[in-house]
Amino acid sequence: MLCFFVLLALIGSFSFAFAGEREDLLADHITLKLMTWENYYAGASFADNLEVFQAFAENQNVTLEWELASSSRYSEVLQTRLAAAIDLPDIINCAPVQPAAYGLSGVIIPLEGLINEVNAPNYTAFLVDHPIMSLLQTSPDGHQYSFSGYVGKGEMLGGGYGLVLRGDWLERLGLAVPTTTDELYDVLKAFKEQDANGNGDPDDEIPFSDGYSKLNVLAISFGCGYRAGNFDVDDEGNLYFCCSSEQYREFLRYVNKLYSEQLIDPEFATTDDDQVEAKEAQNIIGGRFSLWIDEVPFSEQMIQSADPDGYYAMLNPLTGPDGTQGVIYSSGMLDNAMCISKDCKYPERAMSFLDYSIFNDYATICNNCGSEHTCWEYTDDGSIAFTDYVMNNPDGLSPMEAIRSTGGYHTMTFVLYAEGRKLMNSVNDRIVGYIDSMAPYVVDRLEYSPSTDQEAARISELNRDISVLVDEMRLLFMTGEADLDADWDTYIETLNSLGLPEYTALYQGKYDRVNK
Amino acid sequence: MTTGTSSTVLKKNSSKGSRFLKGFKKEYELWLLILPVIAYFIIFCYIPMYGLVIAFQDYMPGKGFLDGPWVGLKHFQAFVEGLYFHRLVRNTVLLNAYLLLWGFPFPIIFALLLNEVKVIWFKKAVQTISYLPYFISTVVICGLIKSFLSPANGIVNVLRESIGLQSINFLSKAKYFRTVYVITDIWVFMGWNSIIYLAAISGINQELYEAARIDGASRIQCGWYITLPSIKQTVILLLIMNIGSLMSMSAEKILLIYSPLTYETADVISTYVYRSGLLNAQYSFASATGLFNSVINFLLLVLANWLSKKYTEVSLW
Repeated sequence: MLCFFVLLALIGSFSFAFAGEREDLLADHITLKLMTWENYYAGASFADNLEVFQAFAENQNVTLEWELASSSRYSEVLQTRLAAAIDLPDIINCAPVQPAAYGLSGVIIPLEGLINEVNAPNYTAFLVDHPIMSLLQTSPDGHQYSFSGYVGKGEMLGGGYGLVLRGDWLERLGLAVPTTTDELYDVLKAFKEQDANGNGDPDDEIPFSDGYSKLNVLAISFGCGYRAGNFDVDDEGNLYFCCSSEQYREFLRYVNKLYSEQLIDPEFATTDDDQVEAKEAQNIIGGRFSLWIDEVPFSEQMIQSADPDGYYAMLNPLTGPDGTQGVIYSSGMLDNAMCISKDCKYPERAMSFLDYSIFNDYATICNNCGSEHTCWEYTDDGSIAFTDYVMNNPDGLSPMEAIRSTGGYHTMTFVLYAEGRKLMNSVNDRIVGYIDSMAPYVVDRLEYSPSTDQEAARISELNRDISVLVDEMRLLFMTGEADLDADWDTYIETLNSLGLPEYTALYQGKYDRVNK
Repeated sequence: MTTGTSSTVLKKNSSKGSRFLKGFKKEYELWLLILPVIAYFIIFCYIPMYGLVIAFQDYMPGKGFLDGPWVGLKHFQAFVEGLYFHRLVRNTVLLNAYLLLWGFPFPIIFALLLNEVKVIWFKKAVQTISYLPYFISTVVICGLIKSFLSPANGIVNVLRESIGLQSINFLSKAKYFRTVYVITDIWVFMGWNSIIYLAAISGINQELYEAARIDGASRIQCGWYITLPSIKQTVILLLIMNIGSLMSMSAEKILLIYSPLTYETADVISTYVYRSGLLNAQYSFASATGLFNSVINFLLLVLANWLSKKYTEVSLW
């Protein structure tokens, strides 16, 4: 709290000293065009001038226009737009691409020259507390091309471990919530063999159903960490590729055992969330991943339509067969990257808008909690309290949906406001208990510095075939189409022939620049 | 034939240019009719071709089409030497070959059969129902395919289980992919593609049939000796055009029903181009791969046309 006031005081002094220049900067009313993907809450489009952005726009004396695409198509749309590089919006959410590559060819502009106390008072103050952010956001060519949000060290962005099992099924069969991978196997086996859903038919249960890529969470319990994207780091500080490690092989062996005994959905290679939800509503699946723990209540609505007593028990990270404790990664700097395009006529104003909308304290509360008055009010002690619109929505919206309907928790980057998140989840006691029980398992992810242009080009060249091979072989090993004993060495050899050592070395370089 | 003779007549007393102008004046309504088509091809097919230069560059967005560093055939070489080159070409060719082999005869047979149906309301109903899938978007079609083939409760597997067979997870076995793809393609396009044959059939002179029947020909003989030869030209023209598009597989449907489990038979050049170009932003590499595909396509078209000209005297040019 003290720290908070010091920060306030700092901001205060900055704004005092530069108030005149800042007034001049914001004097003219202009239009800024933003490009990002559409609101996750389908009922409210950003284009509808949502309250949170209305507040930002008023503060910055701008009118906002939007260029939006659906989240699933955004990457394609963005790359097509950037490749054409004609008539670009002023501010672009470059989350799916490497901004540095586009910075080098001049599609987006370097920001460091724009960052000063007049244009970016909030960010300058933020850097005082988080000096690492400056380094993380600087490309090796010396320029900063983007702004990223931030999640405090050791904090979860509400995600967590994500593995949930039907609590009522466990009770019916007299089983405890599993804490190790072996116990998980026993539970799934029991789901399969017995009449877990209690409808009289012991054969209609699918013990676990979800898309295959999410299973990687389990690999952590086998010692294959993914602490740095596709890589993990050993005790000497050397990166190794997760998907070619022995630990990964053991993980695949485990999944293969689950698959061959039909303990996971045979459709896991092609299934999507809609299909999983449909099966939830049929009351036939015993577990899934729910990567956003806040969304567990939504999944429970699906199962409760079929079984009113159904609920999900949320698992803590499991311990692996050799005793490796699973963990949860906090996010650190977010991948989201807000950039200013070459076509922006008022770069200073765009900078000021980004600075305010990402790093201002009031904006942070709005970003996390929705608009003041509709979603929350200040309390007497300076913290906030949610209104009934969020906690007990008249239209039945979940707290997250209610916040999103006013423009909060939007799709661009922001700084996490952990208190708000906790407050929002306090509507559900089980989620509060779960988040508390997870806290000891949260560790920090490892950070890379951004790629240089040459690095980015080479990485994407190498990644072209490596990613296909890894993706394909992972599923073939999981389903037993390829043999983990007979075909493993060929797999490793092929990976090496595709340039895995060079690929690893490139990432090692990126890693060393930040960590050494 | 008539235009051929008139142009030889004209040739005697006028130069090429003025002959064209005269023809143009006389037939300007026809030229007007075809104008939109010509405009379409120029605007959407020929003008964008200048973008192909990026296949020979390390293209950087923002620097424009001519300022990127030229790298010659580097990207073509990378594609041909890549791990997946053989598999991609094999899958593209095989999938299309099967599509042609199985998919091409169905609309013809369907049109012939439909032509024999004399109950008008029934014929109309069958026709309408068979067109229907063509008007459903690919995304929905693929959703239907997925739910039909679901191993848990898909209709195909429910039927299999009811006659005592094992349920099969069709979409996650590489060996079933081509079968699934071809059968569903026939289902979607059979009705629509039969329209052109039905149109050709309706143009056949009815007197031919009457004469044949008087001579004692059966219905099957009428179909074999009159209908089929009469639509031969249409069939061959469509065949050539189909061969021309042999390599130009549209990626949409595959993208919607494949998974890494079925890459072995399902990953074709266009899906690979999609992944490397749009998802991984390797514009130059993707253009090179696409260009490679189009060149092979063009060669196939020329070959098919040449063969057809030689053996059947029907050809595109």
